Amino acid sequence: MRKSSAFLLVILLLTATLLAACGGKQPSGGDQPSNGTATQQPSGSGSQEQSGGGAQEPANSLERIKAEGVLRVGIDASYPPMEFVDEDGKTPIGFDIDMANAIAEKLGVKAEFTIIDWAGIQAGLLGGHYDAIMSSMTITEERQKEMDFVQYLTMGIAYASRPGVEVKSDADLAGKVVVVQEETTAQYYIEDLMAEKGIQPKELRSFPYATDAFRELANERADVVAIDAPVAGYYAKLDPDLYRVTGMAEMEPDPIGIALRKGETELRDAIQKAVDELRAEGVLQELQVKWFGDAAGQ
Amino acid sequence: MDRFVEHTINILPVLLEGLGVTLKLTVISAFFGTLLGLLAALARISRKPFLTGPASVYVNLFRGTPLLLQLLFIYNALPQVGIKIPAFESAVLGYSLNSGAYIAEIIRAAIQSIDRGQMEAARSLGMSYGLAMRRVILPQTYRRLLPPMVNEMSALTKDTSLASVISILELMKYSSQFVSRTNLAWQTYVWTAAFYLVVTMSLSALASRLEKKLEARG
Repeated sequence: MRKSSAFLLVILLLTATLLAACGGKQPSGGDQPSNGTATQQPSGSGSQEQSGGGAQEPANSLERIKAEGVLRVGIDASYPPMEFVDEDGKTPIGFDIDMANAIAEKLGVKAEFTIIDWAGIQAGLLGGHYDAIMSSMTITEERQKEMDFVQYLTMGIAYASRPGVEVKSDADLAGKVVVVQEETTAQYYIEDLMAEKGIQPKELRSFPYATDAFRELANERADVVAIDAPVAGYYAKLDPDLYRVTGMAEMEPDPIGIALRKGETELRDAIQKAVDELRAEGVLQELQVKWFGDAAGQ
Repeated sequence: MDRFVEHTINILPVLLEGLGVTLKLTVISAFFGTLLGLLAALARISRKPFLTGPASVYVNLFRGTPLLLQLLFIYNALPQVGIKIPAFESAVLGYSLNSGAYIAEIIRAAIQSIDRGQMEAARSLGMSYGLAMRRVILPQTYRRLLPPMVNEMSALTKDTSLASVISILELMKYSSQFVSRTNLAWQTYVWTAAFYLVVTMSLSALASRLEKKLEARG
């Protein structure tokens, strides 16, 4: 068994060396320009270390960010208007992008975005590929066990109905075909309504993407979508003939946070301070109006 | 229909860019995967325990765990023990190791399908094991290898769509980002599908030409 793992390690290292060798010739369109080669420092301590550093090690990630002049932010650019791509199909834009840029400016650095699929976004933070997630992440008890959060927004759930249907309140859901995005607060909220308040939709269906949910309305296979208010506002504006926002869930809006690795107190405090300042200066509110328009509400 | 044409003009540049990434990832991983697969296959049939053991562990490990897990592990767990590999190289490593495990079995099966007498005959003519393998056995496997290898390469091409979990923006991710922006699903996915088909069908075409060539030679 020991031999076997040695063989595996050899294969791994061989391939890594090969890759490093061919990577050396042509700098790939790399995501991390400041990285040294992988094989150079096998004894490194992972995320804390950066090869550019020189003699003096930064004491914490805030100091490293300031030294590098870059705040690295992970996003999944498929949740308009929070984070999505511009007309060219690749430049990230949206509320969270503007917000991240504003926070970076407060820290005296630039924000750099890594687009990553939602399924890998938390692992990427813990793996040290970026310093913060700003991707409309709801602060939950479960996630707080893994990461620290700085809250910067709250989001309510809106009801978007197809023409001929007017879901204005929770009670109006009774007898309707309701669609939600899988594993979202909206889904849990409606399941709670069914279990505890006895409001019985005709059917509750869930889909992986917001666009799938809205397509159900467009195809008249469903009556109402329950989803984060800004997102409902975005799609309603995109196809005003097919669906419009008709009401809000009667709940406390969800806290949305910037996720950080646990225990990075200095970075968390600095970002908290930046968010507080942006709120006091009215920048946060301006961004809400810019991106959410009427659907802001929250 | 006008909207479809306009939409198509909008998405083609970024989808082409995604196709480029998909192709680059596929071709490099296919190369290393085939190399690894050949080595592992030869190791597995060598009857030397210090080779067969590790090779079996490798094949079982990478064939028996989800590719998604392997990618996430390489990209996010290895840094915690000091091995920090950039995203694209992580993806190449993951896909090479994974496809190598499948290719190892394809090659092993092909070699073992050649009549045992061939090896015995070659050895009795004084050829060493390695020479007999290279000159007699392996050339006879090429035709049998082609169809399953095309399968594997097609699977690899499509599997690269998972790479967005380690921040590689490829054809599929660009495409779904465009869908979330515009809510035009089929108008986008139709092109995405066409691009994948171009790649996989070129592979099949290439394989059937090779097959004919090998047939002619006998």
